[in-house]
Amino acid sequence: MSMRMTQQIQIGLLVGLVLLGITLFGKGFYMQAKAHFAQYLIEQAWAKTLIDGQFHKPWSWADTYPVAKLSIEQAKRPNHFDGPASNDSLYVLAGASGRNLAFGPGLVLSSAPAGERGNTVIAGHRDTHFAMLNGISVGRRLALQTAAGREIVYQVVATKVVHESQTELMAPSDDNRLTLITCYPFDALQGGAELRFVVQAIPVEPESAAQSEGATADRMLEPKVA
Amino acid sequence: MFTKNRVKEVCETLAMLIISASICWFIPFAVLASPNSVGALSAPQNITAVFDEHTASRLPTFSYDDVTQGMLVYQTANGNLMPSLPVDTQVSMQVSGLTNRVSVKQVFSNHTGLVLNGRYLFPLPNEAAVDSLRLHIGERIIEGQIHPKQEAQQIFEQAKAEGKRASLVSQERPNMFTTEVANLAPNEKLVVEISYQETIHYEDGLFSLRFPLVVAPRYIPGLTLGGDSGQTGRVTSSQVFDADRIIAPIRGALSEEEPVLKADIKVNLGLGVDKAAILSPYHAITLDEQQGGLTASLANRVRADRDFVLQWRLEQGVSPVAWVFNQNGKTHQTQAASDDGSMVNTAASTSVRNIDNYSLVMVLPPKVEASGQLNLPRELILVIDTSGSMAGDSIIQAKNALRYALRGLKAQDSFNIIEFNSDVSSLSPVPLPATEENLAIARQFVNRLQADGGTEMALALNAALPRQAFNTASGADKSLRQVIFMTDGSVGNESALFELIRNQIGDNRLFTVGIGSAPNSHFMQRAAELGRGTFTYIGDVDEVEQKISQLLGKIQYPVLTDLQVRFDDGSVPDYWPAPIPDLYRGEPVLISLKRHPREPQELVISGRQGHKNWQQSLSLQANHSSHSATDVAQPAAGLDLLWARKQIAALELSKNGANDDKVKQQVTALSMNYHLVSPYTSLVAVDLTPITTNAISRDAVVRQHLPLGWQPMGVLPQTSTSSRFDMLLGGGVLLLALMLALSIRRQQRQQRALSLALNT
Repeated sequence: MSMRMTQQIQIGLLVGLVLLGITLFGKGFYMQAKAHFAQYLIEQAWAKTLIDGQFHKPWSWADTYPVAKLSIEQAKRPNHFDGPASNDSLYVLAGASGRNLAFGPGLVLSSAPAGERGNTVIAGHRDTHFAMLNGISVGRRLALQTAAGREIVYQVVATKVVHESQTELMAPSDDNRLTLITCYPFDALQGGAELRFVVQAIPVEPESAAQSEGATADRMLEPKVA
Repeated sequence: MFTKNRVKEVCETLAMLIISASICWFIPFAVLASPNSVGALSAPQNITAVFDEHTASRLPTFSYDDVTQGMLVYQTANGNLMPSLPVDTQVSMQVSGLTNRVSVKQVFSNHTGLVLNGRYLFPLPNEAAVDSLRLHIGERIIEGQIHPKQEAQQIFEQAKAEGKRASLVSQERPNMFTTEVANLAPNEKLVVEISYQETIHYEDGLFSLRFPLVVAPRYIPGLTLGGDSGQTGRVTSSQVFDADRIIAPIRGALSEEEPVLKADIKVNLGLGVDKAAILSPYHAITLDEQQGGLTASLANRVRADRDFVLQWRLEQGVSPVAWVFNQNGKTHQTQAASDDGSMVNTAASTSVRNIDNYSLVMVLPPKVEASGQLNLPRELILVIDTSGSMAGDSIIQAKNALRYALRGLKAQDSFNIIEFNSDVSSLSPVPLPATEENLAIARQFVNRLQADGGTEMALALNAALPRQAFNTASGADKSLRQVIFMTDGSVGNESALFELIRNQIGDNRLFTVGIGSAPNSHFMQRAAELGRGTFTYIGDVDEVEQKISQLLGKIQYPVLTDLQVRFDDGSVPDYWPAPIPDLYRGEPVLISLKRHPREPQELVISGRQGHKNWQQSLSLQANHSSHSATDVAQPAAGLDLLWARKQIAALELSKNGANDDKVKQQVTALSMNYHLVSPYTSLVAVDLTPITTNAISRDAVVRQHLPLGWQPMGVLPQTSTSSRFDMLLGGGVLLLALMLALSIRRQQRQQRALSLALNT
């Protein structure tokens, strides 16, 4: 008699554990999957944007749209950089809200739009899209494609770890710069981190024919040492 | 025997559970961490450094203010060193009536053996009309000229390259400016004098002025040390500064002596000021009475870390209720007649018929009895954005804000709540009276709100601002309809929404409340402007109560609404701001206008005061107030600058993406005409003779106590999720379940074997 009951309890416990496990795992997996697969839908929206110059929602009930494509140069071939392979590219969404960040890195709305003068701030999740920022070093190049199809190449000039209250990093600037923000440390498992890993990059002249961009790039890199 | 077996089973299961739990906790840590740990090795030096910086900056004992003068260096983000340039600020203000002429002298001193090129970012009051730049080199003074921004930059860079001393003043934000100086010779002092015009704040008989010595985000800690962050555009690895040339190491520069950024302020208040009523809430001041009037100055030079505020009242105890200041012609004649900087006095030229007149008009509406105000019923429509972008902290803040707003309702008020995402739903089809019962229902409604879906703001605006068709109530019984709109403003169709607000605002007032870590403040500012309300930003859950109660408290007592200005013949003058915002308790009407000599002299200002219409006419001819208190007929100057500055502000706000170029042209033309620094024009002064020195030239920066005239935006975006943790935990639990299943199965098998054995 008692044996039956124990068995029932055990089975009940088993079912409970399985459900709990699936829920928890599913929740985490869902976030990762969302982060991964949403990029494909966003890619299609971006392709449309590049054609007609209008912004398109990646799916009809979406609350955002892609505004830029961010590519990070691979560490393996630092000397050869002619636009990274498309699988390194991330589609940047308008607005860095928690909801958007689940689908892709988000452009902070109060910052300068991609390709315009000022401080362009892009935030992304450390455990999905911006996990690739881990180990990024000064001198690494990034490329940002704007809705107009223009490709701007940036070079990382600084990386640092800051507290989340240091919002001056998002302050507008009078030069052209790109600021990437993700949470820190990268390996932490729990959410709600207080520290941020910040990457600052400034535009460099693309090797080939960049006279049109010359003006801004020149200003940035004019020699400061006489 | 059975029981023994059971005990053994249970013990075994428990042990397995514990073991597997511990395994689950550790294995995945290692596994999940590994893909990302590759780069972890390269990071440490970086991280420790910044950690130190972070923790150090939190310590109250250490601050940038403790840095002494002398050869200063600071470390940029990439480890390069740059000299820091000490700047001394001397402010002198001349108050006349409601205008304030301020001259800010920035003394750049070079204590190094190098030629320095410096850059200083500093705050000024929000609507400061900067119109003059003078570069003092020893005894000589070079007047700055206004040029389009790019052109000015070129002139400056050229002078810099040619070894000439030069100075450039440009606007970064309406309240944030940069001074650049080039070729500051070794052991030399350059004085850059900037002058601006502003209006004095006047409310309820109390005059007040504010000079920002430090910029807004005062509560942000830790900015004092990370100087690299404030130095825009200088954090580049290409600008290598050889560290071995620097004599003083950073540590040596930090001591408890004189601070670097210091300010000295002197305010001439003119005549007729009540000496006893002068108050400077944050700084010690000394008063000095001379025949030119009363002068208030700082008792000692202060560290530039807190805004200077000065308040005063007029002597007679009776405050003026209307005030007119006139000025004939412009402060700065156009380039052709260039005797720059010379003031054209009011009395000077009545003969010139074609010169425009500029006036500053202040009217204080008569006080309303408190009882009369309270009887004005109001209808409060609370609109909340529950779109997906509000998910997380934003929706929590917004819900809290709603709760506070509900709490602030009075019994005679009525209210409604509208939520919108892809769809709109409201608490009730018609506004509800603010009874206990209704408020309880409303609170439940608020508790149920969830952030999901799109941002169909047009639907919400339509619901909140119904077309005028059924707004049949007229005149006396019309209640005051105020819409409080809470959103993060992440919308793409801004201009369509602006159009909608413009068309449907009617008699409503739209107050926007920005929520979240980085709301689209341009959109909300502009929406509030069109909606004749105000924009409030809430960046933190802790600020909700204070900000919302402040907003509700203020908008509870509107004194004058629907303000209009016209000449007595019905024509409308060229005045700013337009439209005139509503007046709340204690606020005066303050308008700047430009008038052609042939236009009428009589001005009529009208509005609605509660249920009644209010109107006041005054003559622009009078050079003094209608009240004896202000019989001091002061020469009014710089009124044209105020007028132009207000117009620039209005133009800038009207930018909607499509007309940017047009606005830029208009603002440029206006600023060139009035000699004003604007987003598109800068003042530049260049010395003709180059400096003679063989010293090496370097860039230097002035380190701010706090950076930039930039509104703080809460915190950096939250970019971590617990997805890995969830997966890990889930995996662990599943593993446990598997073990349990195995154990159960084995147990069953054993039992079966046992029963088989018993049977046979």
